[in-house]
Amino acid sequence: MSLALLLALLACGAESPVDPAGDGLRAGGSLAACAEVAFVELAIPCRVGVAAEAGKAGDVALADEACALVPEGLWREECHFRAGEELGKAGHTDRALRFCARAGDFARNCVTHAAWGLPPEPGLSPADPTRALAALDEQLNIYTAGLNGAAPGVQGEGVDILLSRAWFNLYVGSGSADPAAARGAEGEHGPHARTAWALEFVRLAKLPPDQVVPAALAVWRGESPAPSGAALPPGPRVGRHTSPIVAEGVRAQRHAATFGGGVRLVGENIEEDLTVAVIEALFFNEGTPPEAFVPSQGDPRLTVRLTAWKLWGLTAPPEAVKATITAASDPLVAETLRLAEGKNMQGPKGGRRRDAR
Amino acid sequence: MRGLLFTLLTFGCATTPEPTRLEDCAAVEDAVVRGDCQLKFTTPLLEDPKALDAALALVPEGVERDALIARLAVTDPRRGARLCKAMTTPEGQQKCQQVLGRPHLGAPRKTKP
Repeated sequence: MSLALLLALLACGAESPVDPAGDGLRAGGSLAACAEVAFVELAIPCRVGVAAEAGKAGDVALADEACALVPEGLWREECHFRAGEELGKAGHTDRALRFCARAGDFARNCVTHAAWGLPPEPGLSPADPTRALAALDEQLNIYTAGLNGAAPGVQGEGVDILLSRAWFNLYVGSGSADPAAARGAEGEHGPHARTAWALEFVRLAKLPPDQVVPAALAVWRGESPAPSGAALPPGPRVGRHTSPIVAEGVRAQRHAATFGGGVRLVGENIEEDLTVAVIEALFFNEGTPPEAFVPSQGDPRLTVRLTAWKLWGLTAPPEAVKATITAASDPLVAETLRLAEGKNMQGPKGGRRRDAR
Repeated sequence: MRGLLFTLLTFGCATTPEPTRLEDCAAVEDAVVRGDCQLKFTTPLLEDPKALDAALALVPEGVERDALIARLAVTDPRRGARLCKAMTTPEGQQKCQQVLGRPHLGAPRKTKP
């Protein structure tokens, strides 16, 4: 008993840090520094920061160690998210996905960030379709394996997002709209290949909007030469994009991930899908006015028609969109416009125009 | 003897009486104990934004208050992240920007915490 008393009294002499608040807010850079933080709540963001830095440096072991020291639940998931997105940006796709798979509620965000931060694969070009297709197939295997064990739905959606990015990296800014690689894309690759090819076609063809779809189809069929031009310098590829807009009535319809976390409808056959992809590519091009989407609003094919209404709803003056919703006789069109109206790029929030790297 | 030991272990080295409200925390000399004291009285207010804002106004601006805000934001990011805007020091603001202010942290959870 007396020993316990003595210890308790001795403990009174123990000194607390002089500035635990400042030390805790400033701490970072190493797990040792985080361990010195007097407030347990501030040690958590410190360790998350270490995991993110480790991800940036490709140091999986340190990122793992840091996240293991973070309490289970929201903050551990956030830790895996931060490490995953940084590993992705650094080009370590497989390792990034293993972290994203453990990011719980944040897994989809993590995959989206990791995917849209992925740098292009060096040496791949649309001019060498055989090599490009083999490399993209290999990447598909990496994505599938990396997301193995992720929450239900995350693997399928994640692979979709990653493939979208991989094809985007191959075509967009390459200076070549040679459709050979995209034409050779099969299965899961198909819609993403067409999305990416259409983006580069629209960029290089520089045609008035009403001529773009027929010209794209002609090039795809081999009836006219593919446009080419200057490649964009390395760095972010920017364009207009939006988060997913999916009307209830087409929820069961196939969709494909697009730049920056959006989705587009997939056509019933290749030419229909290509038409949808080209219209979406016009939207990515910030200079395209809302009128460019009007001719396709009467298309007999549902995917083409709804895509055109969606993109018009995103770009037309808000008052025009509102009036059209009221007058719309097709409930699917009205619903699509209502969803687009909330993300209208002429509205007060202005929409998102950048960051599709 | 047992009573004396309990008192020593419970109140540690504090020479001031145990705080019964947030304002009393300021009198606690030890910075760590003072910070924990502030957290103890503010955490229950996370569900009542007005009461929490009023309570935080009682803590002088500076690193100590920013650390308290950061601790609250870590404890409950959904309710606490909004407080990031109230941070006044560069280290507090940086912590918010880098870690606490990420929008998804404020979204409702799909799975149990």
